[in-house]
Amino acid sequence: MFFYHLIDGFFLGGLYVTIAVGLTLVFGVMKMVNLAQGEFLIGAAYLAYTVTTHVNLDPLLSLIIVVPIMFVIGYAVQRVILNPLIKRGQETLLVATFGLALIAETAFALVFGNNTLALNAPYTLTGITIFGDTVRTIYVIAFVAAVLMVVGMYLILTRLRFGKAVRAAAEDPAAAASVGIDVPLVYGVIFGVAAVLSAVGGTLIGLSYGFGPTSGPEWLLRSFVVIVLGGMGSLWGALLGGILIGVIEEVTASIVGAQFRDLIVFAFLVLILIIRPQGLFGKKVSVAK
Amino acid sequence: MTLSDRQPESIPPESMEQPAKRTWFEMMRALKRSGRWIKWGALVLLLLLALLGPTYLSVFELTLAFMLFNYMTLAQSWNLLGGYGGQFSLGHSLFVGAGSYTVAVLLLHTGMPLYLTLLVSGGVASGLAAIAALLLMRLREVYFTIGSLGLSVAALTWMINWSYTGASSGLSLPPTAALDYTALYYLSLALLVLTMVCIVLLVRSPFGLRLMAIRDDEEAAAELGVYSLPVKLTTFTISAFFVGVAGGLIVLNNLSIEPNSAFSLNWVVTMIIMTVIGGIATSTGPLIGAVVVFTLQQALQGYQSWSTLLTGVLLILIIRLAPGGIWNMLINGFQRLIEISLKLRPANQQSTSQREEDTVENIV
Amino acid sequence: MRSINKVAWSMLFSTFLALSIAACGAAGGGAASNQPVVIGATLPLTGPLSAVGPILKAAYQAAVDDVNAAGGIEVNGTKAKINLVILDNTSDPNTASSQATTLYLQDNAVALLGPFTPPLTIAVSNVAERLKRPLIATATPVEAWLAGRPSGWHYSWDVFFDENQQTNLVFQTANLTTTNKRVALFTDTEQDGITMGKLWLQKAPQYGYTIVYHAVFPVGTTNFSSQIAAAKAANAQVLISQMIPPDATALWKQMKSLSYNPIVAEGEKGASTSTWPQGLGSVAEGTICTNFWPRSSGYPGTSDLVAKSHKAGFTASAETSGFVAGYSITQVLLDTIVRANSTSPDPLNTAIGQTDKTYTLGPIKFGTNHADSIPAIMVQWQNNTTVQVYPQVSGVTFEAPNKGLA
Repeated sequence: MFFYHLIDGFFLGGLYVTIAVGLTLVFGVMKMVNLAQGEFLIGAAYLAYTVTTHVNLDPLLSLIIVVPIMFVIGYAVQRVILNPLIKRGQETLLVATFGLALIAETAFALVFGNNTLALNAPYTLTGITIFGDTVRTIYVIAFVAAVLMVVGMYLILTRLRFGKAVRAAAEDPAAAASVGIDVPLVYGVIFGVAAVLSAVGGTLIGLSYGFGPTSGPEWLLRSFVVIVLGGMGSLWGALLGGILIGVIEEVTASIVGAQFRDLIVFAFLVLILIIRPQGLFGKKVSVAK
Repeated sequence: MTLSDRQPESIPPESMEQPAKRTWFEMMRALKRSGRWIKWGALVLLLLLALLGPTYLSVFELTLAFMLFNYMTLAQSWNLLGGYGGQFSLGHSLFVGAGSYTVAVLLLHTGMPLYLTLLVSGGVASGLAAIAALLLMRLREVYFTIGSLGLSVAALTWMINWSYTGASSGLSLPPTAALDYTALYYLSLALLVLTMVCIVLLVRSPFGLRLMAIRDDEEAAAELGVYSLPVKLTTFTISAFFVGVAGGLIVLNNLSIEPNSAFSLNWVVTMIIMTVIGGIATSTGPLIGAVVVFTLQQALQGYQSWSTLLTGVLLILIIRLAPGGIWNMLINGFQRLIEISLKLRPANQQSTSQREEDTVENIV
Repeated sequence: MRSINKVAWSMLFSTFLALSIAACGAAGGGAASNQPVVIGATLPLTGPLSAVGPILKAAYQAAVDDVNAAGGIEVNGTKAKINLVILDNTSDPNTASSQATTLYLQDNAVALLGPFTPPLTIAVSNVAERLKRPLIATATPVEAWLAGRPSGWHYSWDVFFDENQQTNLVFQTANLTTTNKRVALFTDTEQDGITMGKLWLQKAPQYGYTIVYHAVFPVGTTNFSSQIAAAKAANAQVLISQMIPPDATALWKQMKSLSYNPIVAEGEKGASTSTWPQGLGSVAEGTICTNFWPRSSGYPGTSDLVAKSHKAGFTASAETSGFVAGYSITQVLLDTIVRANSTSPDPLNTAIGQTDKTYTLGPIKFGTNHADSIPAIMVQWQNNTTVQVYPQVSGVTFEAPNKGLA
């Protein structure tokens, strides 16, 4: 029985990876915590919903339309609103992204109403048997997507020239600018890419569960736990962190009871911050004396 | 205060040669000299106005004033830690809830006099803050923020399940705890005045200088012998105290409590919004911010979503265009006006009293 | 420039704080005109509880509009129109509290109509008690509401089902078919979940059922894999759940994916809105949930109100019931004003307690605890509509095993 919980958690963790990759990418490159991450996820789900109600497409296929739109939105937001604020420090960015989250949340409510919506597809109602345990098909799909996303981003950042520019800008923006890298452009593109990754995560959420205008914050909190555990800014950290959090959630729910699940997860978050704030793979974090 | 405050007053030679301008100038100079008296006079006047509130305010307006004073206290308390201290906390809802529940539990299970329970609620909040500080203080910037958020959410989950405090059903205060609105008004006013006095004195004291030094450059401060941990711990505790008492007042107003609204993230969100819009790290900023946001919320009562939307837009506009908040915007505007009228500076030149930008780099 | 700063500071500060008091006055001022009689309600029109808020809003408004169309009500010798003021409390008890205060004190509402669910209704009831003005609520289970003030409510009234009777229904309904009498109980940590959970645990043995698994989880839980696995392992053929619609939808989808197919599946609260078949499609078929207004009873005004409810966009039977409940309590309030021939709080309050009449919701008469318990019934989703399955009515068969999860 315990083994089944492990398997459940493993694949559930895949879903958690997809929602957190965008967040960790943005932090890794721009040292910015995007408090609007939850709204990006839900916004993408709403977009997918709009597309699938007008065009008879599978929600995952609707990503073909959703992804470019999300990229443009992400890029625009970064260049117009956030870039000028980067030099003012992390707190300013926190407040700015928070303001964006407020606006997005109310916009969703105004445009789509307050009901819980869901993306429908036949594979959301089926399960796959793995080692004797039945796992929701959508979780397995999410797991595969998670691996693809992380590996894909890793390859982009290490093999492509643009990826090298990104890493240079992340390492030292001033030096990168001095060798001719257009840092504002890099930031814009990365935020756009993060929006795209969140689009995948959001669509998977919409397929796995329902979503409403107020769903953003809970997914934001979960993403936080994942990236803090894995290491803020680390892609592999997001992958491992997501899976670990999925396993922890399932195991504690079965042992202690689901009503304490959040308590344990967030106590765990605080514990990690105290013992090892850089998480599993993050860069060493300077601490006050 | 900004560096520009230390500039010496200059007397342009031209103005001495025109009699009308000279009178005007001498008037302004007298005004400047008596600045301190005017400031104190204004404060006393306002306090008198507030104390006489119940005589000219309707019962409904008293309830509004109660909420406004509470919001001002909350915003200013957050400002102490977040603005002056530079520790951006997302966990302050924990103290609101802790204060509220302390008062509720004490009134229900002990015979403690009501006013004492308020003090104890502040104490409990401070105690929790001390623990949180010891847990989180070594964390910098966003790590501290996320940690504080984690504590607050963990506390919420705990309270939903804790049967001693009624779990998710919460608690109802005994009928004897119902104070009339005038009493509540004075309590919240007293708390606000106390909070303002404490925080203003604290900030202007050597402790305050140490706090801001740590905020501006922690390493440099450490090299000068200013160790951050005790300072941050004290600040966190003081900030939480006032928030806890405010939480106690809130439950006295509502007469019932349940965990989701007591520990709701809305509290800390409102504190931050009010402080940032009004003017972070200023003593008047949170008050202005509270007035602006509260008026907006009340005016748009029937259109909740629009009110939140506008607040979000306002937040982004402020952070982009006037990061010092509305207060700094007004101060600068007023100063420019005076300077122009005194011909101390041509109209098209930038005023030096603008809030300083943080870093030298300007690559983005 | 230090002194200029001080001058500027003091002038602006004074202006701002004077303005703020004025703003309080402006936001607060403007006494309502004496002519119309004002009643109010603070409802969750947005936020997690927004499924039911709009239903009550439409119902209250419809009742007021109908009375106004007939010329208004007669009070103190003159015919006055009713002015209904509705505010959105975004499902937050704090906001509900302050809005109730606004409605009573600024808008001079002579009485308020209730929001729904215990956290909101209790918050508003407390305001009514403090200000000593009447409040009539519905859509708030009686036991949970009474628990909000152990010493008893004096100015607040509630018309809804009593959880004691309501929790019997699932066992009575399950008895209509054959199962192994093993029950999996899924309840959330909210008030209703706790109250009903306790009652179900208590009653199961009385009906010969055993609770073999009890899952407790917070509101907003999305993943139920381990709980479903445990319920399957415990071989529970009866599923009882109490959760909000989004959580229930998630649970049902996951039960389908993981091939857990109970013979009887109750989705208390979760399956009560029209979003149930919308979100689940064919998986929704066969779910049972309680309702509190048997259309078949044929109380006065039934077909009229059903039509009005459908016209307002509320077609699921629980939604129509909510509409009828809201309409009826508004009628109770307006009738009381006429009967008491007064808009003053105490005469009005006493008169509410003397209500004894049959409305579309059924006969309404308050007990000494200020509550009127209306009998709950069990309905089942069949072909995207809900039909009454217990107490049994002719022409309707109880579908078992549950087809949606099969």
